Amino acid sequence: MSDGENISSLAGLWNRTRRLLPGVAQPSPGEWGPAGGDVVRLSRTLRPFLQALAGAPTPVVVDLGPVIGSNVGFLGTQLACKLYPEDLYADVDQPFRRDDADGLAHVLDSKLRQEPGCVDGILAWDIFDYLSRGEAAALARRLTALLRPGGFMMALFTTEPRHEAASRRYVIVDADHLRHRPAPGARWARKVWPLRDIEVLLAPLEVRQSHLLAHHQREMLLRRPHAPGKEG
Amino acid sequence: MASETGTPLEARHPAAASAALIGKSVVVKGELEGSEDLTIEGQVEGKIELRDHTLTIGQGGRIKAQVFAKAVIVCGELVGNINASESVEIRETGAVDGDVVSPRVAIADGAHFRGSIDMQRKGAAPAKGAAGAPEPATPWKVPPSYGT
Repeated sequence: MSDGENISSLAGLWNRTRRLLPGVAQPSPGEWGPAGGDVVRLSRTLRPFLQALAGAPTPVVVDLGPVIGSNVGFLGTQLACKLYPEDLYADVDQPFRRDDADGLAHVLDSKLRQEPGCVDGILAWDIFDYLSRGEAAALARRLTALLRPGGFMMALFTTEPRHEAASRRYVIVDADHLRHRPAPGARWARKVWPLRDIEVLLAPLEVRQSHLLAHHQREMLLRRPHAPGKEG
Repeated sequence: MASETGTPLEARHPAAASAALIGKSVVVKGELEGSEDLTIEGQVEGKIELRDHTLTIGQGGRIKAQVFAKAVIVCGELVGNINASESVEIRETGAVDGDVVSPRVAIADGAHFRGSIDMQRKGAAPAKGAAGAPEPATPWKVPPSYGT
């Protein structure tokens, strides 16, 4: 279903039930806004991501988030792109064994079927925060292979350990703002990736921009370098 | 015209007011071609071509077909690719499994979609897709780095 709602899965049911138990962390007041719902946050890398892709005639974009109608409309208006919404969040929510990189590999085989080296841009959002190291490495290998030389990836990483009782989805408000929307899911414990680990994880992508934002999130714009001697 | 539920069809699908209708008990297998708007509440398998007109798939519509139309509104289920010269709209109750090619695509919250969306404008070079893609002739505009 769109927006990553996985209402029918047992894992999702367990997660929602678990939040009602005493001692389980709840979102802190203000974290998701006064109503405990959506909150709009500044984004520093979405605009440069769009600018970078605007130079391509018909960019191919892979969105690892769920199908969000307004995101589809926005990207279509801004980029006139070919968009592949893949919703990996729903897949990592499936209750396959953690640290089972092969399990994720099977999911990636069925989802990310684009030709290697043919994708101009990837919106990874904060998917890495919810993965084990093995899973993250498997996903990073696949994503870096998909990107064409000169292609860009936008990724978000939390910078402090949190125990929010929800994962997040990202709705594009405009080129400078994202709406952070809590979403139920089996995996809501977020891993903190040190900057050095991110660089190693996503090698050979080069970091073009890295912004540490006030809402405890690092936004990064990464680019797959051209082969030596082919830099434009 | 009213459905068995009492909700006027025109209220659910404005385009249906002046459109031809395939009722919910009708099953069509093969090719459908037309030069007027069409609303489908039944089942269609095969191919649908309404090049200059609007296809509306009602909530009861179950389509397994390749669709070519000016505009497509999906309130029911569609398995197959959509090629619309103007727009594709997947409403809250709609479900699409297939690739969409259209300059304008609207997907409502709650709708189901699985596939790719090609929103290239008319006259643009085709998207690179599955085949090997050549490098663009002009280098991309790279944004200035803000640093950390």
